[in-house]
Amino acid sequence: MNNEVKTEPSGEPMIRIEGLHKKFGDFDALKGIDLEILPKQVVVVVGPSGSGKSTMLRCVNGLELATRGHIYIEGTEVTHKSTDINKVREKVGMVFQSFNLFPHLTAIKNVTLAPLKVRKMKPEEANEKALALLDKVGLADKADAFPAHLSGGQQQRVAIARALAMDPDVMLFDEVTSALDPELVSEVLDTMKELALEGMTMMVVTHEMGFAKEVGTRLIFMDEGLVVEDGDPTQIFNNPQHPRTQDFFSKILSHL
Amino acid sequence: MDGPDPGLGLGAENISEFEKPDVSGWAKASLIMGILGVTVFPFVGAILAIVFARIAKKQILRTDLGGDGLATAGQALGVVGLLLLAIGIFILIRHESLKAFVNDFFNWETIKFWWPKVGRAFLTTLKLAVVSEFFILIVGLLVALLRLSKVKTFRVLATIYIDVIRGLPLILQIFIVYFGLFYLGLNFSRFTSGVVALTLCYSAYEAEIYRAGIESIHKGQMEASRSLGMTYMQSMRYVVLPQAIRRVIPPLSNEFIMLTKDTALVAFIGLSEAFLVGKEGMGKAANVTPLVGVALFFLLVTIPAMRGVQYLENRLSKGD
Repeated sequence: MNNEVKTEPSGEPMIRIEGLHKKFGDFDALKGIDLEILPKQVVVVVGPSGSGKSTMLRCVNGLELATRGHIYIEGTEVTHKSTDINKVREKVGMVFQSFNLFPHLTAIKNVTLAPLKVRKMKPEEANEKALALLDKVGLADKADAFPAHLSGGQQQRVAIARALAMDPDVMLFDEVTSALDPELVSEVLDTMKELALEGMTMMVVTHEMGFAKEVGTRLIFMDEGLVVEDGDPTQIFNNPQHPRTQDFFSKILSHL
Repeated sequence: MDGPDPGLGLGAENISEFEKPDVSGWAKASLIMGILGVTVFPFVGAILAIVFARIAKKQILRTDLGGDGLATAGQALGVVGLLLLAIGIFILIRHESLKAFVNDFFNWETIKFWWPKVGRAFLTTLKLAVVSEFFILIVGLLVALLRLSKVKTFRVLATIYIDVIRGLPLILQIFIVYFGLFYLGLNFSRFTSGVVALTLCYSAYEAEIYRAGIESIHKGQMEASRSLGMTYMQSMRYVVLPQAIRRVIPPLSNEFIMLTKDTALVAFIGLSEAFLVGKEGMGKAANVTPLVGVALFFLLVTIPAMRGVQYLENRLSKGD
Protein backbone atom coordinates (compact mmCIF):
# COMPACT_ATOMS: atom_id res chain seq x y z
CA MET A 1 0.00 0.00 0.00
CA ASN A 2 1.24 3.49 -0.69
CA ASN A 3 -0.08 7.00 -0.50
CA GLU A 4 0.54 8.27 -4.01
CA VAL A 5 -2.58 6.86 -5.63
CA LYS A 6 -5.14 8.53 -3.38
CA THR A 7 -7.85 10.10 -5.50
CA GLU A 8 -8.63 13.76 -4.94
CA PRO A 9 -12.03 14.54 -3.47
CA SER A 10 -14.12 16.91 -5.54
CA GLY A 11 -17.55 18.46 -6.03
CA GLU A 12 -20.68 18.85 -3.93
CA PRO A 13 -20.88 16.92 -0.65
CA MET A 14 -21.96 13.31 -1.11
CA ILE A 15 -23.19 13.12 2.48
CA ARG A 16 -24.17 16.06 4.63
CA ILE A 17 -24.99 15.54 8.30
CA GLU A 18 -26.45 18.46 10.27
CA GLY A 19 -26.97 18.48 14.01
CA LEU A 20 -27.52 14.72 14.22
CA HIS A 21 -28.76 13.50 17.60
CA LYS A 22 -29.66 9.92 18.49
CA LYS A 23 -31.08 8.73 21.78
CA PHE A 24 -31.58 5.13 22.88
CA GLY A 25 -34.00 5.56 25.76
CA ASP A 26 -32.14 7.83 28.15
CA PHE A 27 -28.77 7.22 26.57
CA ASP A 28 -27.45 9.88 24.20
CA ALA A 29 -25.54 7.97 21.54
CA LEU A 30 -25.03 10.98 19.28
CA LYS A 31 -25.02 14.52 20.64
CA GLY A 32 -24.90 16.72 17.57
CA ILE A 33 -22.83 15.58 14.61
CA ASP A 34 -22.07 17.96 11.73
CA LEU A 35 -20.17 16.51 8.79
CA GLU A 36 -19.77 16.96 5.08
CA ILE A 37 -18.31 14.11 3.09
CA LEU A 38 -17.16 14.84 -0.43
CA PRO A 39 -17.23 12.41 -3.34
CA LYS A 40 -14.23 10.04 -3.45
CA GLN A 41 -13.27 10.74 0.15
CA VAL A 42 -12.31 7.72 2.20
CA VAL A 43 -13.36 8.74 5.68
CA VAL A 44 -12.07 6.55 8.44
CA VAL A 45 -14.03 6.84 11.67
CA VAL A 46 -12.24 5.81 14.84
CA GLY A 47 -12.92 6.16 18.53
CA PRO A 48 -13.47 4.15 21.69
CA SER A 49 -16.37 1.69 21.79
CA GLY A 50 -19.65 3.37 22.64
CA SER A 51 -18.53 6.63 21.03
CA GLY A 52 -21.35 6.45 18.47
CA LYS A 53 -19.38 5.52 15.33
CA SER A 54 -21.62 2.66 14.26
CA THR A 55 -24.77 4.53 15.26
CA MET A 56 -23.78 7.41 13.01
CA LEU A 57 -23.17 5.02 10.13
CA ARG A 58 -26.50 3.30 10.69
CA CYS A 59 -28.29 6.65 10.74
CA VAL A 60 -26.83 7.50 7.33
CA ASN A 61 -28.74 4.70 5.59
CA GLY A 62 -31.74 4.87 7.88
CA LEU A 63 -31.19 1.63 9.81
CA GLU A 64 -31.49 3.86 12.88
CA LEU A 65 -33.89 6.81 12.89
CA ALA A 66 -32.32 10.12 13.88
CA THR A 67 -33.84 11.61 17.02
CA ARG A 68 -33.02 15.12 15.76
CA GLY A 69 -31.08 16.62 12.88
CA HIS A 70 -30.84 16.08 9.15
CA ILE A 71 -28.89 13.80 6.85
CA TYR A 72 -28.65 14.41 3.12
CA ILE A 73 -27.24 12.00 0.58
CA GLU A 74 -26.58 13.58 -2.80
CA GLY A 75 -29.03 16.32 -1.85
CA THR A 76 -31.88 13.96 -0.83
CA GLU A 77 -32.85 14.23 2.81
CA VAL A 78 -32.71 10.74 4.34
CA THR A 79 -34.31 11.95 7.55
CA HIS A 80 -37.39 13.41 5.83
CA LYS A 81 -40.65 11.52 6.28
CA SER A 82 -41.67 11.62 2.62
CA THR A 83 -38.33 10.33 1.35
CA ASP A 84 -38.46 6.79 -0.04
CA ILE A 85 -35.72 5.30 2.12
CA ASN A 86 -35.45 2.29 -0.20
CA LYS A 87 -34.46 4.57 -3.09
CA VAL A 88 -31.76 6.16 -0.93
CA ARG A 89 -30.46 2.79 0.19
CA GLU A 90 -29.93 1.71 -3.40
CA LYS A 91 -27.21 4.34 -3.57
CA VAL A 92 -25.68 3.50 -0.20
CA GLY A 93 -23.99 0.14 0.14
CA MET A 94 -23.37 -1.23 3.62
CA VAL A 95 -21.12 -3.99 4.91
CA PHE A 96 -21.54 -5.31 8.44
CA GLN A 97 -19.30 -6.67 11.16
CA SER A 98 -21.19 -9.97 11.20
CA PHE A 99 -21.26 -10.31 7.35
CA ASN A 100 -25.01 -11.05 7.35
CA LEU A 101 -24.85 -13.10 4.17
CA PHE A 102 -28.13 -14.84 3.40
CA PRO A 103 -27.33 -18.42 4.49
CA HIS A 104 -30.00 -20.05 2.33
CA LEU A 105 -28.56 -18.61 -0.89
CA THR A 106 -25.31 -19.34 -2.74
CA ALA A 107 -22.68 -16.62 -3.02
CA ILE A 108 -23.85 -15.58 -6.48
CA LYS A 109 -27.52 -15.57 -5.44
CA ASN A 110 -26.62 -13.35 -2.48
CA VAL A 111 -25.20 -10.92 -5.00
CA THR A 112 -28.01 -11.10 -7.57
CA LEU A 113 -30.98 -10.95 -5.17
CA ALA A 114 -31.30 -7.17 -4.84
CA PRO A 115 -30.58 -6.40 -8.53
CA LEU A 116 -33.26 -8.95 -9.51
CA LYS A 117 -35.92 -7.86 -7.04
CA VAL A 118 -35.24 -4.14 -6.70
CA ARG A 119 -33.83 -3.23 -10.10
CA LYS A 120 -35.86 -5.90 -11.93
CA MET A 121 -32.69 -6.78 -13.79
CA LYS A 122 -32.80 -9.68 -16.27
CA PRO A 123 -31.41 -12.89 -14.72
CA GLU A 124 -28.65 -13.31 -17.32
CA GLU A 125 -27.55 -9.73 -16.89
CA ALA A 126 -27.60 -9.98 -13.08
CA ASN A 127 -25.62 -13.21 -13.16
CA GLU A 128 -23.02 -11.78 -15.50
CA LYS A 129 -22.60 -8.74 -13.31
CA ALA A 130 -22.46 -10.80 -10.12
CA LEU A 131 -19.76 -13.04 -11.59
CA ALA A 132 -17.74 -9.99 -12.55
CA LEU A 133 -18.07 -8.63 -9.01
CA LEU A 134 -17.17 -11.95 -7.42
CA ASP A 135 -14.18 -12.07 -9.71
CA LYS A 136 -13.24 -8.58 -8.57
CA VAL A 137 -13.21 -9.69 -4.92
CA GLY A 138 -11.31 -12.84 -5.95
CA LEU A 139 -14.12 -15.34 -5.44
CA ALA A 140 -15.37 -16.21 -8.93
CA ASP A 141 -14.65 -19.87 -8.18
CA LYS A 142 -16.90 -19.75 -5.09
CA ALA A 143 -19.98 -18.48 -6.92
CA ASP A 144 -22.02 -21.59 -6.17
CA ALA A 145 -20.80 -22.08 -2.59
CA PHE A 146 -23.16 -21.51 0.32
CA PRO A 147 -21.99 -19.04 2.99
CA ALA A 148 -21.51 -21.82 5.54
CA HIS A 149 -18.79 -23.27 3.32
CA LEU A 150 -16.84 -20.01 3.05
CA SER A 151 -14.27 -18.61 5.48
CA GLY A 152 -15.06 -15.38 7.33
CA GLY A 153 -12.84 -13.40 4.99
CA GLN A 154 -14.51 -14.92 1.95
CA GLN A 155 -17.96 -14.25 3.37
CA GLN A 156 -17.07 -10.64 3.98
CA ARG A 157 -15.77 -10.25 0.42
CA VAL A 158 -19.03 -11.72 -0.92
CA ALA A 159 -20.85 -9.18 1.27
CA ILE A 160 -18.83 -6.41 -0.37
CA ALA A 161 -19.67 -7.75 -3.83
CA ARG A 162 -23.32 -7.94 -2.81
CA ALA A 163 -23.34 -4.29 -1.78
CA LEU A 164 -21.54 -3.26 -4.98
CA ALA A 165 -24.12 -5.03 -7.14
CA MET A 166 -26.52 -2.13 -6.61
CA ASP A 167 -23.95 0.32 -8.02
CA PRO A 168 -23.84 2.44 -4.87
CA ASP A 169 -22.33 5.91 -4.82
CA VAL A 170 -21.26 5.54 -1.19
CA MET A 171 -20.11 2.51 0.76
CA LEU A 172 -20.44 2.22 4.53
CA PHE A 173 -18.18 -0.25 6.34
CA ASP A 174 -19.14 -1.02 9.93
CA GLU A 175 -16.17 -2.68 11.67
CA VAL A 176 -16.03 -5.20 8.86
CA THR A 177 -12.83 -6.91 10.01
CA SER A 178 -13.59 -7.06 13.74
CA ALA A 179 -15.17 -10.52 13.59
CA LEU A 180 -12.42 -12.01 11.44
CA ASP A 181 -9.50 -14.20 12.41
CA PRO A 182 -6.32 -12.07 12.21
CA GLU A 183 -4.94 -13.88 9.17
CA LEU A 184 -8.11 -13.14 7.19
CA VAL A 185 -8.18 -9.40 7.84
CA SER A 186 -5.81 -8.37 5.05
CA GLU A 187 -7.77 -9.99 2.22
CA VAL A 188 -10.79 -7.88 3.16
CA LEU A 189 -8.74 -4.71 3.64
CA ASP A 190 -7.10 -5.26 0.25
CA THR A 191 -10.50 -5.45 -1.40
CA MET A 192 -11.51 -2.23 0.33
CA LYS A 193 -8.30 -0.53 -0.71
CA GLU A 194 -8.90 -1.49 -4.32
CA LEU A 195 -12.36 0.04 -4.08
CA ALA A 196 -10.92 3.24 -2.60
CA LEU A 197 -8.41 3.49 -5.43
CA GLU A 198 -11.24 3.28 -7.93
CA GLY A 199 -12.65 6.44 -6.39
CA MET A 200 -15.49 5.03 -4.29
CA THR A 201 -16.74 7.35 -1.56
CA MET A 202 -16.36 5.41 1.67
CA MET A 203 -17.11 5.77 5.36
CA VAL A 204 -15.14 3.19 7.28
CA VAL A 205 -15.59 2.52 10.98
CA THR A 206 -12.57 0.48 11.96
CA HIS A 207 -9.87 -0.27 14.49
CA GLU A 208 -7.33 -0.98 11.73
CA MET A 209 -5.02 1.97 12.11
CA GLY A 210 -2.74 0.76 9.31
CA PHE A 211 -5.67 0.94 6.92
CA ALA A 212 -6.62 4.37 8.24
CA LYS A 213 -3.14 5.69 7.57
CA GLU A 214 -2.57 4.11 4.18
CA VAL A 215 -5.99 4.27 2.53
CA GLY A 216 -7.90 6.93 4.45
CA THR A 217 -8.02 10.42 2.99
CA ARG A 218 -9.63 11.79 6.11
CA LEU A 219 -9.84 10.67 9.70
CA ILE A 220 -12.59 11.41 12.14
CA PHE A 221 -12.12 10.74 15.83
CA MET A 222 -15.33 10.37 17.82
CA ASP A 223 -15.88 10.26 21.55
CA GLU A 224 -19.08 10.27 23.61
CA GLY A 225 -21.32 10.98 20.64
CA LEU A 226 -19.33 13.90 19.23
CA VAL A 227 -16.72 14.44 16.54
CA VAL A 228 -13.65 15.44 18.50
CA GLU A 229 -11.08 15.67 15.73
CA ASP A 230 -11.34 15.71 11.94
CA GLY A 231 -8.51 15.95 9.44
CA ASP A 232 -5.68 14.25 7.58
CA PRO A 233 -5.00 10.78 9.03
CA THR A 234 -1.22 11.02 9.11
CA GLN A 235 -1.32 14.42 10.76
CA ILE A 236 -3.76 13.28 13.43
CA PHE A 237 -1.68 10.17 14.10
CA ASN A 238 1.53 12.12 14.42
CA ASN A 239 0.15 15.13 16.16
CA PRO A 240 -3.27 14.64 17.76
CA GLN A 241 -4.64 17.94 19.06
CA HIS A 242 -7.39 16.99 21.47
CA PRO A 243 -6.44 15.35 24.81
CA ARG A 244 -8.99 12.55 24.26
CA THR A 245 -7.49 11.76 20.86
CA GLN A 246 -4.02 11.79 22.38
CA ASP A 247 -5.17 9.45 25.11
CA PHE A 248 -6.85 7.07 22.65
CA PHE A 249 -3.86 6.86 20.33
CA SER A 250 -1.38 6.51 23.16
CA LYS A 251 -3.39 3.51 24.36
CA ILE A 252 -3.73 1.73 21.03
CA LEU A 253 -0.36 2.70 19.55
CA SER A 254 1.62 1.63 22.59
CA HIS A 255 1.11 -1.95 21.43
CA LEU A 256 2.45 -1.42 17.90
CA MET B 1 -2.29 -45.97 20.02
CA ASP B 2 1.43 -46.64 19.98
CA GLY B 3 1.60 -48.71 23.15
CA PRO B 4 1.46 -47.97 26.84
CA ASP B 5 3.11 -44.81 28.02
CA PRO B 6 5.93 -46.03 30.29
CA GLY B 7 5.53 -43.04 32.58
CA LEU B 8 1.83 -43.55 33.19
CA GLY B 9 1.32 -47.27 32.70
CA LEU B 10 0.45 -48.01 36.32
CA GLY B 11 -3.35 -47.79 36.49
CA ALA B 12 -5.68 -50.68 35.80
CA GLU B 13 -7.48 -48.65 33.10
CA ASN B 14 -4.32 -48.65 31.04
CA ILE B 15 -4.08 -52.40 31.04
CA SER B 16 -7.70 -52.81 30.05
CA GLU B 17 -7.02 -50.88 26.86
CA PHE B 18 -4.56 -53.44 25.61
CA GLU B 19 -5.78 -56.74 27.00
CA LYS B 20 -9.26 -58.06 26.67
CA PRO B 21 -10.75 -57.95 30.20
CA ASP B 22 -12.07 -61.10 31.82
CA VAL B 23 -15.79 -61.56 31.51
CA SER B 24 -17.76 -61.60 34.75
CA GLY B 25 -18.88 -65.11 35.66
CA TRP B 26 -22.18 -63.78 36.96
CA ALA B 27 -22.90 -62.25 33.53
CA LYS B 28 -22.33 -65.59 31.81
CA ALA B 29 -24.52 -67.34 34.37
CA SER B 30 -27.23 -64.73 33.85
CA LEU B 31 -27.28 -65.32 30.09
CA ILE B 32 -27.45 -69.08 30.51
CA MET B 33 -30.28 -68.78 33.04
CA GLY B 34 -32.06 -66.38 30.71
CA ILE B 35 -31.96 -68.90 27.87
CA LEU B 36 -33.19 -71.66 30.17
CA GLY B 37 -35.84 -69.30 31.54
CA VAL B 38 -37.53 -68.83 28.18
CA THR B 39 -37.23 -72.50 27.24
CA VAL B 40 -37.12 -75.49 29.54
CA PHE B 41 -36.80 -73.93 32.98
CA PRO B 42 -39.52 -71.28 33.30
CA PHE B 43 -39.98 -68.93 36.24
CA VAL B 44 -36.98 -70.01 38.35
CA GLY B 45 -34.64 -69.65 35.39
CA ALA B 46 -36.02 -66.23 34.55
CA ILE B 47 -35.79 -65.03 38.16
CA LEU B 48 -32.23 -66.28 38.47
CA ALA B 49 -31.28 -64.61 35.18
CA ILE B 50 -32.50 -61.26 36.53
CA VAL B 51 -30.80 -61.72 39.91
CA PHE B 52 -27.48 -62.84 38.37
CA ALA B 53 -27.60 -59.90 35.95
CA ARG B 54 -27.92 -57.47 38.86
CA ILE B 55 -24.99 -59.02 40.68
CA ALA B 56 -22.94 -59.01 37.46
CA LYS B 57 -23.67 -55.34 36.79
CA LYS B 58 -22.66 -54.33 40.33
CA GLN B 59 -19.50 -56.39 40.03
CA ILE B 60 -18.66 -54.81 36.64
CA LEU B 61 -19.13 -51.36 38.11
CA ARG B 62 -16.75 -52.09 41.01
CA THR B 63 -14.06 -53.94 39.08
CA ASP B 64 -12.82 -53.75 35.52
CA LEU B 65 -14.39 -57.03 34.46
CA GLY B 66 -16.25 -57.10 31.10
CA GLY B 67 -19.59 -58.66 30.19
CA ASP B 68 -22.02 -55.80 30.68
CA GLY B 69 -23.68 -56.66 27.37
CA LEU B 70 -24.09 -60.31 28.39
CA ALA B 71 -25.69 -59.28 31.67
CA THR B 72 -28.13 -56.98 29.88
CA ALA B 73 -29.07 -59.77 27.49
CA GLY B 74 -29.63 -62.17 30.40
CA GLN B 75 -31.77 -59.58 32.17
CA ALA B 76 -33.87 -58.99 29.04
CA LEU B 77 -34.37 -62.73 28.50
CA GLY B 78 -35.42 -63.05 32.12
CA VAL B 79 -38.08 -60.37 31.73
CA VAL B 80 -39.33 -61.86 28.46
CA GLY B 81 -39.48 -65.28 30.15
CA LEU B 82 -41.66 -63.90 32.95
CA LEU B 83 -43.94 -62.13 30.47
CA LEU B 84 -44.38 -65.27 28.36
CA LEU B 85 -45.17 -67.21 31.49
CA ALA B 86 -47.76 -64.63 32.56
CA ILE B 87 -49.43 -64.66 29.15
CA GLY B 88 -49.40 -68.48 29.12
CA ILE B 89 -51.07 -68.62 32.52
CA PHE B 90 -53.60 -65.98 31.47
CA ILE B 91 -54.55 -67.97 28.36
CA LEU B 92 -54.76 -71.23 30.30
CA ILE B 93 -57.00 -70.02 33.11
CA ARG B 94 -58.98 -67.29 31.30
CA HIS B 95 -59.56 -68.99 27.98
CA GLU B 96 -63.14 -67.73 27.86
CA SER B 97 -62.16 -64.10 28.53
CA LEU B 98 -59.62 -64.18 25.71
CA LYS B 99 -62.26 -65.40 23.32
CA ALA B 100 -64.55 -62.62 24.51
CA PHE B 101 -61.77 -60.12 24.01
CA VAL B 102 -61.18 -61.18 20.40
CA ASN B 103 -64.92 -61.20 19.76
CA ASP B 104 -65.23 -57.65 21.01
CA PHE B 105 -62.13 -56.02 19.54
CA PHE B 106 -61.44 -58.11 16.44
CA ASN B 107 -64.79 -59.65 15.51
CA TRP B 108 -64.28 -61.11 12.05
CA GLU B 109 -67.85 -60.60 10.83
CA THR B 110 -67.78 -56.99 11.99
CA ILE B 111 -64.38 -56.43 10.40
CA LYS B 112 -65.66 -57.67 7.05
CA PHE B 113 -68.72 -55.44 7.12
CA TRP B 114 -67.56 -52.29 8.92
CA TRP B 115 -63.85 -51.71 8.26
CA PRO B 116 -64.38 -50.94 4.54
CA LYS B 117 -67.05 -48.39 5.53
CA VAL B 118 -64.75 -46.93 8.16
CA GLY B 119 -61.95 -46.80 5.58
CA ARG B 120 -64.10 -44.82 3.17
CA ALA B 121 -65.11 -42.44 5.95
CA PHE B 122 -61.44 -42.06 6.85
CA LEU B 123 -60.93 -40.55 3.40
CA THR B 124 -63.30 -37.78 4.49
CA THR B 125 -61.21 -37.39 7.65
CA LEU B 126 -58.05 -37.01 5.59
CA LYS B 127 -59.73 -34.62 3.15
CA LEU B 128 -60.93 -32.49 6.07
CA ALA B 129 -57.41 -32.40 7.54
CA VAL B 130 -55.66 -31.60 4.25
CA VAL B 131 -58.11 -28.91 3.11
CA SER B 132 -58.04 -27.28 6.55
CA GLU B 133 -54.23 -27.43 6.72
CA PHE B 134 -54.02 -25.70 3.32
CA PHE B 135 -55.93 -22.69 4.69
CA ILE B 136 -54.23 -22.86 8.11
CA LEU B 137 -50.75 -22.55 6.57
CA ILE B 138 -51.83 -19.36 4.76
CA VAL B 139 -53.97 -17.78 7.50
CA GLY B 140 -51.43 -18.69 10.20
CA LEU B 141 -48.65 -16.94 8.29
CA LEU B 142 -50.78 -13.85 7.71
CA VAL B 143 -51.71 -13.67 11.41
CA ALA B 144 -48.03 -14.07 12.36
CA LEU B 145 -47.07 -11.20 10.04
CA LEU B 146 -49.81 -9.01 11.54
CA ARG B 147 -48.62 -9.98 15.01
CA LEU B 148 -45.12 -8.74 14.07
CA SER B 149 -46.35 -5.65 12.21
CA LYS B 150 -45.10 -2.18 13.06
CA VAL B 151 -48.73 -1.01 13.03
CA LYS B 152 -50.02 -1.27 16.57
CA THR B 153 -53.66 -1.88 15.59
CA PHE B 154 -52.66 -4.95 13.56
CA ARG B 155 -50.52 -6.23 16.41
CA VAL B 156 -53.30 -5.82 18.96
CA LEU B 157 -55.94 -7.44 16.73
CA ALA B 158 -53.69 -10.40 15.99
CA THR B 159 -52.86 -10.83 19.66
CA ILE B 160 -56.53 -10.76 20.69
CA TYR B 161 -57.39 -13.32 18.01
CA ILE B 162 -54.58 -15.65 19.08
CA ASP B 163 -55.38 -15.36 22.79
CA VAL B 164 -59.13 -15.85 22.41
CA ILE B 165 -58.81 -18.85 20.13
CA ARG B 166 -56.14 -20.51 22.24
CA GLY B 167 -58.23 -19.92 25.33
CA LEU B 168 -61.23 -21.92 24.07
CA PRO B 169 -61.90 -25.64 23.66
CA LEU B 170 -61.94 -26.70 20.01
CA ILE B 171 -65.25 -28.51 20.36
CA LEU B 172 -66.86 -25.25 21.50
CA GLN B 173 -65.45 -23.42 18.49
CA ILE B 174 -66.78 -26.09 16.14
CA PHE B 175 -70.28 -25.77 17.62
CA ILE B 176 -70.21 -21.98 17.60
CA VAL B 177 -69.12 -21.86 13.98
CA TYR B 178 -71.56 -24.49 12.75
CA PHE B 179 -74.66 -23.32 14.63
CA GLY B 180 -73.61 -19.68 14.49
CA LEU B 181 -73.46 -19.77 10.72
CA PHE B 182 -76.70 -21.77 10.62
CA TYR B 183 -78.66 -19.25 12.67
CA LEU B 184 -77.16 -16.45 10.60
CA GLY B 185 -78.93 -18.05 7.68
CA LEU B 186 -75.71 -19.23 6.09
CA ASN B 187 -76.29 -22.80 5.05
CA PHE B 188 -72.76 -24.09 5.10
CA SER B 189 -72.28 -27.84 4.79
CA ARG B 190 -70.94 -29.73 7.77
CA PHE B 191 -67.67 -30.25 5.90
CA THR B 192 -67.27 -26.54 5.15
CA SER B 193 -68.12 -25.62 8.74
CA GLY B 194 -65.54 -28.13 9.91
CA VAL B 195 -62.92 -26.58 7.66
CA VAL B 196 -63.81 -23.07 8.88
CA ALA B 197 -63.68 -24.04 12.56
CA LEU B 198 -60.44 -26.00 12.28
CA THR B 199 -58.80 -23.22 10.26
CA LEU B 200 -59.94 -20.62 12.77
CA CYS B 201 -58.53 -22.64 15.66
CA TYR B 202 -55.31 -24.04 14.28
CA SER B 203 -54.29 -20.80 12.54
CA ALA B 204 -53.83 -19.24 15.97
CA TYR B 205 -51.44 -21.98 17.08
CA GLU B 206 -49.54 -22.07 13.81
CA ALA B 207 -49.28 -18.27 13.80
CA GLU B 208 -47.35 -18.51 17.06
CA ILE B 209 -45.05 -21.12 15.55
CA TYR B 210 -44.42 -18.95 12.48
CA ARG B 211 -43.79 -15.97 14.75
CA ALA B 212 -41.21 -17.85 16.81
CA GLY B 213 -39.54 -18.97 13.58
CA ILE B 214 -39.40 -15.46 12.16
CA GLU B 215 -38.11 -14.02 15.44
CA SER B 216 -35.38 -16.65 15.56
CA ILE B 217 -33.81 -15.24 12.39
CA HIS B 218 -31.04 -12.81 13.35
CA LYS B 219 -32.05 -9.18 12.81
CA GLY B 220 -28.87 -8.66 10.80
CA GLN B 221 -30.57 -10.56 7.97
CA MET B 222 -33.37 -8.02 7.76
CA GLU B 223 -30.89 -5.14 8.08
CA ALA B 224 -28.62 -6.45 5.35
CA SER B 225 -31.59 -6.96 3.08
CA ARG B 226 -33.07 -3.54 3.79
CA SER B 227 -29.67 -1.87 3.29
CA LEU B 228 -29.69 -3.25 -0.28
CA GLY B 229 -32.83 -1.24 -0.99
CA MET B 230 -35.30 -4.09 -0.63
CA THR B 231 -38.63 -3.24 1.00
CA TYR B 232 -39.81 -4.81 4.27
CA MET B 233 -42.10 -7.18 2.37
CA GLN B 234 -39.40 -8.14 -0.15
CA SER B 235 -36.95 -8.77 2.69
CA MET B 236 -39.52 -10.93 4.49
CA ARG B 237 -40.35 -12.89 1.38
CA TYR B 238 -36.88 -13.51 -0.04
CA VAL B 239 -34.63 -13.41 3.02
CA VAL B 240 -36.39 -13.99 6.35
CA LEU B 241 -39.27 -16.35 5.52
CA PRO B 242 -37.27 -18.89 3.50
CA GLN B 243 -35.01 -19.33 6.54
CA ALA B 244 -37.81 -19.17 9.12
CA ILE B 245 -40.06 -21.67 7.34
CA ARG B 246 -37.24 -24.17 7.10
CA ARG B 247 -36.95 -23.98 10.88
CA VAL B 248 -40.67 -24.37 11.58
CA ILE B 249 -41.35 -27.33 9.28
CA PRO B 250 -41.02 -29.87 12.13
CA PRO B 251 -43.32 -28.06 14.61
CA LEU B 252 -45.82 -27.27 11.84
CA SER B 253 -45.84 -30.93 10.86
CA ASN B 254 -46.58 -31.86 14.47
CA GLU B 255 -49.52 -29.45 14.41
CA PHE B 256 -50.74 -31.16 11.25
CA ILE B 257 -50.69 -34.52 13.02
CA MET B 258 -52.66 -33.04 15.92
CA LEU B 259 -55.10 -31.52 13.44
CA THR B 260 -55.62 -34.89 11.77
CA LYS B 261 -56.58 -36.38 15.13
CA ASP B 262 -58.78 -33.43 16.09
CA THR B 263 -60.89 -33.78 12.93
CA ALA B 264 -62.72 -36.49 14.88
CA LEU B 265 -64.38 -33.71 16.88
CA VAL B 266 -66.25 -32.62 13.77
CA ALA B 267 -68.26 -35.83 14.19
CA PHE B 268 -70.20 -33.93 16.85
CA ILE B 269 -71.82 -31.70 14.25
CA GLY B 270 -72.72 -34.83 12.29
CA LEU B 271 -70.03 -35.05 9.61
CA SER B 272 -69.67 -38.67 8.51
CA GLU B 273 -65.97 -38.99 9.02
CA ALA B 274 -64.21 -42.05 10.39
CA PHE B 275 -65.06 -41.61 14.06
CA LEU B 276 -68.78 -41.04 13.51
CA VAL B 277 -69.06 -44.05 11.18
CA GLY B 278 -67.06 -46.14 13.64
CA LYS B 279 -69.35 -45.08 16.48
CA GLU B 280 -72.41 -45.96 14.42
CA GLY B 281 -70.83 -49.34 13.63
CA MET B 282 -70.17 -49.97 17.30
CA GLY B 283 -73.85 -49.38 18.06
CA LYS B 284 -75.09 -51.66 15.29
CA ALA B 285 -72.61 -54.50 15.66
CA ALA B 286 -72.67 -54.29 19.45
CA ASN B 287 -68.91 -54.57 19.68
CA VAL B 288 -65.97 -52.18 19.57
CA THR B 289 -64.37 -53.62 16.42
CA PRO B 290 -65.40 -50.71 14.14
CA LEU B 291 -63.68 -48.24 16.47
CA VAL B 292 -60.58 -50.44 16.53
CA GLY B 293 -60.65 -50.08 12.75
CA VAL B 294 -60.81 -46.30 13.10
CA ALA B 295 -57.84 -46.44 15.47
CA LEU B 296 -55.84 -48.53 13.02
CA PHE B 297 -56.55 -46.14 10.14
CA PHE B 298 -55.42 -43.19 12.25
CA LEU B 299 -52.22 -44.97 13.29
CA LEU B 300 -51.56 -45.92 9.69
CA VAL B 301 -51.24 -42.20 8.95
CA THR B 302 -50.02 -40.67 12.22
CA ILE B 303 -47.16 -43.04 13.08
CA PRO B 304 -45.35 -42.72 9.72
CA ALA B 305 -45.96 -38.96 9.92
CA MET B 306 -44.40 -38.78 13.39
CA ARG B 307 -41.39 -40.78 12.22
CA GLY B 308 -41.14 -38.46 9.23
CA VAL B 309 -41.08 -35.39 11.47
CA GLN B 310 -38.36 -36.96 13.59
CA TYR B 311 -36.32 -37.63 10.48
CA LEU B 312 -36.80 -34.04 9.31
CA GLU B 313 -35.79 -32.69 12.71
CA ASN B 314 -32.59 -34.73 12.70
CA ARG B 315 -31.71 -33.63 9.20
CA LEU B 316 -32.44 -29.96 9.80
CA SER B 317 -30.51 -29.86 13.06
CA LYS B 318 -27.49 -31.29 11.26
CA GLY B 319 -27.86 -28.71 8.52
CA ASP B 320 -27.61 -25.74 10.90
